[in-house]
Amino acid sequence: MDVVAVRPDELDPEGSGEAAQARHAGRGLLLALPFLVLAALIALVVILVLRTNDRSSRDDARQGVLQAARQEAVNLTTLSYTSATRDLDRILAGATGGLRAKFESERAQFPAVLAREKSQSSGSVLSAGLVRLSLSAGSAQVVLATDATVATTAAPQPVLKHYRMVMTLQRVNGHWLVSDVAFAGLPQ
Amino acid sequence: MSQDRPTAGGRHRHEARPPRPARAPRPSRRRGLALPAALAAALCVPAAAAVVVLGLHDRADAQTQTARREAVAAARQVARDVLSYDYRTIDADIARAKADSTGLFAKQYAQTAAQLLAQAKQARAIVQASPSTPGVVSASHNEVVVLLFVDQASVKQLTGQKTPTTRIDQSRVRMTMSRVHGRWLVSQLNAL
Repeated sequence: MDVVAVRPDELDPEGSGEAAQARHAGRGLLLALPFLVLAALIALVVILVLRTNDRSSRDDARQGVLQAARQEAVNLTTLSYTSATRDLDRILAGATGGLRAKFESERAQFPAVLAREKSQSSGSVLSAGLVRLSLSAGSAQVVLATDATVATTAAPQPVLKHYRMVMTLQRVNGHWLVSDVAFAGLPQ
Repeated sequence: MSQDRPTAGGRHRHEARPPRPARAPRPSRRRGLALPAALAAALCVPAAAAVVVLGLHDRADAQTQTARREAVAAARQVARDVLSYDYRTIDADIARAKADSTGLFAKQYAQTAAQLLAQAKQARAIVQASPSTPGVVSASHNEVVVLLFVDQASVKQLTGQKTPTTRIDQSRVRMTMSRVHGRWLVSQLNAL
């Protein structure tokens, strides 16, 4: 270093100019450090917030799927010849795809079928569990244990039936609807 | 002379003010950054706190997610173990069922094990349980409730009968799976 080139006011009282430069560089780093750390922390916060949002929308979907499946299980098992059309409409409101098509095609005969037997059935869901859920595909599968008391002219004394349902659900316009119901075995 | 310096300290140099005696330009620019840097350093504290809170939450969620997966896999196997038995291997079957159990169900099972042993041998019973894929009813990091359907195929030959009787029982089983020392065991089991 050219000593002549150093102005007196820049002279480092503690030592040579090199030491001063190093000290300046050190201070520069020291000054930059808070910005770097803050940027890293903010990036982490953003990532974690996105992940939390992801999880909470997944939790919401789980609740939504189970809720929709339970409601449709009740709809499917709560039927009366005195309110057949209304009961059927309720089933249709929670249905899509194959299940909806099936009940729509039976719409005309449905009240007559119930009326012939004077069928009355009242269902409740004992438990429901989520088998799988795909948010990207908008599909889910749920198993349900459903009981229904069923009375007909053939059996006027209500009979308790136990169902094992496997439901497939699809998300349609933000709503979870049931597209298929399979009964795992005969009602017991 | 000062204009010749190759290490001239940036744009402050062009201000062409008379050289001040006290401070060089570079430290003054750095001093201009000192306040924002201090501010940034101060902001690091709440940011770090947010990272810690969110990170703990994230980890808890990840643990619950893992719990779902592990408990579902375990539940199917445990249901098979606990609800199947063969009179020829009944001692080992009961021991295996006990090893899969904890808490309330372990107590209940232990109370009925002697009776099961006697009945299984007497009826020469072979019971094979086929559980369906379980659905998750609720989950936390160390406890998961599942619902599954079980078909129990049984062959029994009661004393006095010439031929064995076979039947299939279809049931709905709700199990509470609890994590004990890293293993998922059944702590409650109810046929609905």
